[in-house]
Amino acid sequence: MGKIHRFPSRVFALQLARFCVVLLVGGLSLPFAATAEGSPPLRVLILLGSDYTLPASVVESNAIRATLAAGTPRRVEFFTEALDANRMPLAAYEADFARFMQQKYRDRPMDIVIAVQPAALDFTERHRAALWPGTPVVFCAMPADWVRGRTFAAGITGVTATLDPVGTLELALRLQPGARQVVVVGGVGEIDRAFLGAARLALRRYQGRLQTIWLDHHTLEQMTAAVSQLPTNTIVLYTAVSRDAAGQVFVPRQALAGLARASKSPVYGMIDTYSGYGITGGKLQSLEADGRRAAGLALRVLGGEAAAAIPVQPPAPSECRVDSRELRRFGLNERLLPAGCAVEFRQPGLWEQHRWKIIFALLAIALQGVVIAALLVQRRLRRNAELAARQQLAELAHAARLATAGELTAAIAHEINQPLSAILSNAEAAELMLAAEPLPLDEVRHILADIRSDDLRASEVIRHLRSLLGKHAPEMESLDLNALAADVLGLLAVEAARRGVMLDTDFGALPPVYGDRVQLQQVLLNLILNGMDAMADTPASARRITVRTATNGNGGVAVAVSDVGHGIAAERLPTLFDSFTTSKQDGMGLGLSIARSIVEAHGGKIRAENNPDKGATFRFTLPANGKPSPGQSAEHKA
Amino acid sequence: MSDIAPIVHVVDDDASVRTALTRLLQAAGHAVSAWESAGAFLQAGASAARGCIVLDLRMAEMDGLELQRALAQQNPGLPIIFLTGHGDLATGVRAMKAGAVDFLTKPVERETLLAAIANALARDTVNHVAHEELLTLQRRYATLTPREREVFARVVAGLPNKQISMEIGAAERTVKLHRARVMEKMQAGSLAELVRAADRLGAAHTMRFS
Repeated sequence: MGKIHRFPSRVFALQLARFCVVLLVGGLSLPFAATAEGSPPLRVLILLGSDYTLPASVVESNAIRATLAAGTPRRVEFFTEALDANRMPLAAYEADFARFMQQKYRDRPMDIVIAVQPAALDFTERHRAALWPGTPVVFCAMPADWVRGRTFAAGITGVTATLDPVGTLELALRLQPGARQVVVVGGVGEIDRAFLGAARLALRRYQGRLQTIWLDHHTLEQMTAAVSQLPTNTIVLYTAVSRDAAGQVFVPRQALAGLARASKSPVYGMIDTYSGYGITGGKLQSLEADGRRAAGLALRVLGGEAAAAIPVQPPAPSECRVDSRELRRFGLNERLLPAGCAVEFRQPGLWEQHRWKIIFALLAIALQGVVIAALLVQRRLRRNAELAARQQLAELAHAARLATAGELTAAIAHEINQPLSAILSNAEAAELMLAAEPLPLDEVRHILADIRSDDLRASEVIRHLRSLLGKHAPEMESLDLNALAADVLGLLAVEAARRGVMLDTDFGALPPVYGDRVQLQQVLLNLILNGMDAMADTPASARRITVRTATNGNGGVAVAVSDVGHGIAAERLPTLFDSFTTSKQDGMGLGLSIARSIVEAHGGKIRAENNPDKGATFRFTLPANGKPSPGQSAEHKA
Repeated sequence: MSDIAPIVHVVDDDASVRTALTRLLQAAGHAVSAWESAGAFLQAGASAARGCIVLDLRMAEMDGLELQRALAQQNPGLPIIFLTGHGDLATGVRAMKAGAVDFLTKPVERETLLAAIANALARDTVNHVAHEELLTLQRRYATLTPREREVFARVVAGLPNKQISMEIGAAERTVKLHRARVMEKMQAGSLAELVRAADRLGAAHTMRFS
C-alpha cells in the first residue's frame, strides 16, 4: 500500500518542479513588495500530511513556529492545514481539499509554504501552481530514502530525516549483548509502513545473528499480548502503529505506551516523540530538530536567498537517547551505553525528590544529636563537678579535722600520757614489789589488772583519734546521734577541763539518722570548740556549753550547741557560714563553712543565732530514718 | 630532829595515775597520802605536815599553779614536784620561779621521780631544821626581860657597854650583868653567836628597839 502511494507522488513531484521553475521569479518578488508596503505580516502556511494532533505534527509545527517567530523582526502570521492522509485515503477528497484551500486563501497570498511529511509535499507539488504560484516551499519530516532520487521544482527545498534502525539495533545489542531475537512491532498505516520498511532493510544485516519476528499484521491487543509473553532477553523494536490490522486508529506513541507497559522485554524506538512513552531507548530521529532546521531554511528563503540555490539538506544524525527508568526496569547496565548517549528521565533519587525534607530531617536529627550530646556532656560534667566537690569537701573536712587536732594536741597528749604514766608507775612499783619478802601477790595482781585497763584506755584514745583524723572513705550508716554526741563530748572532756568549761547535755530520744559518723562528729566538735573559743573572756566559773538533741517537727533530728560567750556580731550573722570569714586571729574561717557543707550534704540545715541573754546557739537538723534521701547514697557522699 | 616521818602527797585527778604513783612510792618506802584534787588537799589541812607534794599540773577545777599559790600562804616550806603530761616550757618556768623544786614530764621514770622526791624531802628537812632552830631562838628570846631585850638589841648593834648604860640610863655594871644574862638565856657562847641568833630572829620578825 505504501508503495502504491509512493510512486504516483513521485510523478507529481516532478511535474510540480517544472512549474515551480517557471514561477520562481514572481515568487521571489513577493517578500520585497510586502516590505515596501510598511511591514505587513509574513504569511506562513504549514501544511501537515497527517492529523494536527499527531505528536509528530505538533512537535514539528511548534518547532517551526518558534524558530520562525524568533528569527525575523517581522510579524509572522501562521496558517496550518492538515491533510490527515495518514488515516484517510487522500485521493477521495484531494480535489475538494485543493478547492477549499484556494477559496480559503484567495486573498491571502502566502510568503512561504512549509510542507510537513511526504503526503504534504506530494500535495504541494501537485497543487502549487494553482494555489501558491511562485511561492517558495520548504519541506521537512521527509524520509531521506523517500526524497532520494527525486528532483524538485525550483523554489522547493527542505530538510530530510532518516530513521536509524541499524543504530537502534546496535544500541539494543550493546544493552542486551545476549539477545538473539528481535520482535518488530508495526501497524498498517502509511507512516507505519514506511517505518517498517526501514526496519526490514536494516534487519537484513542481522540475518543469522538475530531471529526476527514480525508483528505487523495484528491488532494492537494481539501485539500487546504477544510482547507480554516474550522471553526477557528479546529486543522489541517498535516502529509505529497508527492503524492496526483491525483498522483501529491510534496515536502511535499512545499505542506504544500500553504495549511497552505490557512488554517483558525492552522496547526500542526510532523517533524522539516516543521518548518517555515506554521505549528503553534508541538512536532517535529528532522531529523537533527537524522542524527547527526547516524553519532555518525558510528564514533564509524569506531573507532573499533563492530556494533553488539551497540544496535539499541531508538528515541530521540520529541521537542516542535512553530512558533510565526503563534501564532500571529491565536491569540494564547504563555503563554499556556508547559514549555521548543521553540518559533521560533519570528518576530523581530520594535525595533529589526530597532534598529539603531530608536536609531538614538530617538537620533535626543532627540538632537532636547535638542536644543529646550536650546534655550528656553536661550531665557528665555535673557529675564530675559533684564528685570533685565531694572529694574537695572530704579533703577540706580532713584538713579541718587535722587543724582541730592541732588545737587539741595538749588535751590529747594528756589523755594518752595519763594511762601511759600509770602503766609505767605500776610496772615500776611491781618491780620493787618483786624484791619484797613475802611477795605481795594480791597487790601485783591488782597492778597487772590496772596496767591492762590503762593500756586499753590509751589504745581507745588512739583508736578514737585515728578514726577522727585518718583519711577515710565516707561511709553512710545508721547512727544514734546521742551516742555520737556523747563520744565527741568524751573526746573534748580534757580540753574542756583545761579551759574550765562545763559541758552540759540535754539529750532527747532520737530516731536513727543516716550519715557519716566521722563527718557528723566533726560538725559537733567544731561547734563545741567554737563555743569554747567564744567564752575565752567569760569568767571561768560561768563557762558552760550545752548540747541539746531533740526530734524536729518533720521527724528528723535537731541538735543545738549553746554557749554563754560573746555571741555573734549582728553583721557577721549573714556570712557566718561562708568560707574564710573568721573572727579568730588564727582561724582560717573554714570550720563553719565545712560544717555547713557536711550538714547540707546530709540533707540537713544549719543556722546560728544569738541567745536572748548571752552567747550563741548553733542548730543543725538532719533528716530522720535509716534511708538516705534521693541522691544521697553512700557513693554519692564524699 | 624530826619526830614525824615525812609524807609524800600525791595530788592527781586521774585515779589510775594516782593509784599507780601511790603504789610505786609506797613500794619505794615512802609514806604516801593521795588526794584527788588540790581543793581536797588544802581542805584537809594536810599542808601543815612535813614531806613534799607530787602535783599534776594540768588538773580539772584547780590547776597545779593555783595550788602552788595557795600553798605559799599556808606552808611555804612544803616542796612541790610538778608532773605534767605536756612539757610546756612557759608553765615550767613559772612553776620553778614560784618555788617548785622539780618539774617532771609524764610518764616519769621511777629513778627520776624518786630522786626528785629525795631531793624535795631533803629540802623539807633543811627547811624543817631551820624552822626548829628559829622556834628555839624565839622561845629563848621570849624568856628575856624587857630590860635584857633593850641591852640585847644594843649589844648586837655593836654598842659598847658605856654607851648602852648612857642610853638606857643604867650603871655600866648593871649593863654588864644584863649582857651576861642575855648571853646565858640565848645560850650564845660568843658575841658572834648572839649576833647570828639576832639575825635569824630579825629575819623572822623585826626586832624592835623599844
